[in-house]
Amino acid sequence: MINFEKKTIFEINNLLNERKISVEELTEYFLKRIEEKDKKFSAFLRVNNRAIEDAREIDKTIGQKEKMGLFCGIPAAIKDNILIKEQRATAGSRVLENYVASYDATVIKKLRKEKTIFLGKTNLDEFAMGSSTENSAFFVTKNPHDTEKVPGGSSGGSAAAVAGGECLFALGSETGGSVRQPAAFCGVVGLKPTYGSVSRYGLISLASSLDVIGPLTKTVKESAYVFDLIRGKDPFDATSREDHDVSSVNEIFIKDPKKLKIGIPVEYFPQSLDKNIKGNIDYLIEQLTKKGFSVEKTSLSHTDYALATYYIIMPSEASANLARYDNLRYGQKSSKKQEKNLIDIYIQNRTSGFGNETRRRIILGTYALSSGYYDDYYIRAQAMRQIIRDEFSEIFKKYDILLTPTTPTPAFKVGEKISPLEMYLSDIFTVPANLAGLPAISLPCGKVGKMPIGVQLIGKPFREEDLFLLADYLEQEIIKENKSTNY
Amino acid sequence: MKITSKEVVNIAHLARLRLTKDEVIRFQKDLSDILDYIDRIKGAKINETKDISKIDNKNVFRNDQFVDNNEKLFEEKHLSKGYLKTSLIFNEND
Repeated sequence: MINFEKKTIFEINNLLNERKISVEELTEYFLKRIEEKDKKFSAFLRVNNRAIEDAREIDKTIGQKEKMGLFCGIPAAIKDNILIKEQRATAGSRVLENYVASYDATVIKKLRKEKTIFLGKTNLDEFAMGSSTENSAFFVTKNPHDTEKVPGGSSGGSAAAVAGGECLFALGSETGGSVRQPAAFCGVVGLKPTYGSVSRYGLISLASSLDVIGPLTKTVKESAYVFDLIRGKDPFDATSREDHDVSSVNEIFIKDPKKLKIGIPVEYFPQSLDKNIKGNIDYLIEQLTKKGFSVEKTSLSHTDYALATYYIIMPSEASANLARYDNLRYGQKSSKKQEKNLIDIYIQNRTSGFGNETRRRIILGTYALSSGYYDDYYIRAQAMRQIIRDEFSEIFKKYDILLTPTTPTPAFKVGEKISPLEMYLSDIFTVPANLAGLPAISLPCGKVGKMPIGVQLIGKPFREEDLFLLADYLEQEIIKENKSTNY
Repeated sequence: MKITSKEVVNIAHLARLRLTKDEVIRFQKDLSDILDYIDRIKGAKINETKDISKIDNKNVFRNDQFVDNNEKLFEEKHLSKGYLKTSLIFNEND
């Protein structure tokens, strides 16, 4: 019996092309794994009941000798805030509990064209607001490495599905670290692409100036190929862009990673950083230096303001974006027959539909945007965001890549972080890249006890290939012992 | 506390949310903690010329095209004879 969940997309593609397994058998294998493993991990909100049919269809239409594309028949999991036509998309919220998408997100269209199999939709914090997947309106997802621990969030379901071997890759979304932080907690590779490099069309909005879709995979090379498939300008997203300087994905890994200049921003190594994480990152730096890389300490002096800036801008945009959930077009009609007027309907439905964290952020955002506070909070935060961007542009004149820890601690226990502020602080190393729109990747670099930890690489805009090149080198040459996932 | 319970209730109303008495107490504390943290941004030196409205942004346009995908935009239960159903918007006396 082959353990397909331990194989990469490339290896599975070979098996499919050699006709050693059919797409139907492969899909069935993963559906069975989900049925079995998800009792413990709760990564999936629901399974796609058309997956087997789709798989049979591919087997039927593919010719005997026809070569299958890399993603043809590959079983994937999709975060439940990304729309798949005629399937439910809840964004982890009661408000959208019965919402059925009427169109495909652009990323889904692209995967569909390659005949990727959609296994199901994964759990998330309500409207992607959270760092532990505990804010889902439905249930809490568990970390496959230790089910007492959180998988991180908000793409916790997608990260757990990859780590638990319930799919070959997954899509998540980021606003302030929601792919990288769960990737670090679950021991998988998570990419936050440059803002605008992947279309947001069909992604349920949280904060539109920060949101981006990104892949979760077992290895760096797989991440590069998934990214290559989903990126590109889209007429349906006016903020999407195409960068014509990008190398073909096949050419990335033949380049010399030692040409990349690496900076280590000292602000990402505060006193409060977990000692084991610090030790692990220090080891990587030492090894890179030993192998002849140019590695230098540097400084990003406004890092300390990044999280505060983020927690003004994100809730402000969220409060505006979530105003659309008036329960007239989406959601359940109130059961009360005699509402007095429209405002009563809004209040009634929004109050019963939104969870605590969502309401907290809507109120915080409304506060920051209200007259009297707008100048002190929102305007100041936007100005600070520009300062942070400028500081990154300046530092990237000297370096190609910044290397930092992904999170200040390994995964915490379910229910451990009681106060919202405590939860927010777990995003402290990931939000700066979102504020500046930069690409960043997290890859597993060791373990503290049973729990994986991640190293983060931040790059120049549209230079994902630099991240892949160095991350692949780290993975292949320096971090060898981390390939394992617990099952 | 950074924010009064009356402010919490008012802001919640602006956002079309209603809070119970217990929730007002809890939200007041949570929001005050968060605002205390966020307030560090007030101590930052920000050059007044950093006006966000002056950042160069280009508009991106495309032609409007009618595409009939036969897509259902709203759930059946919200519709009546092809129209979106809502409760009364104006009171009878308005």
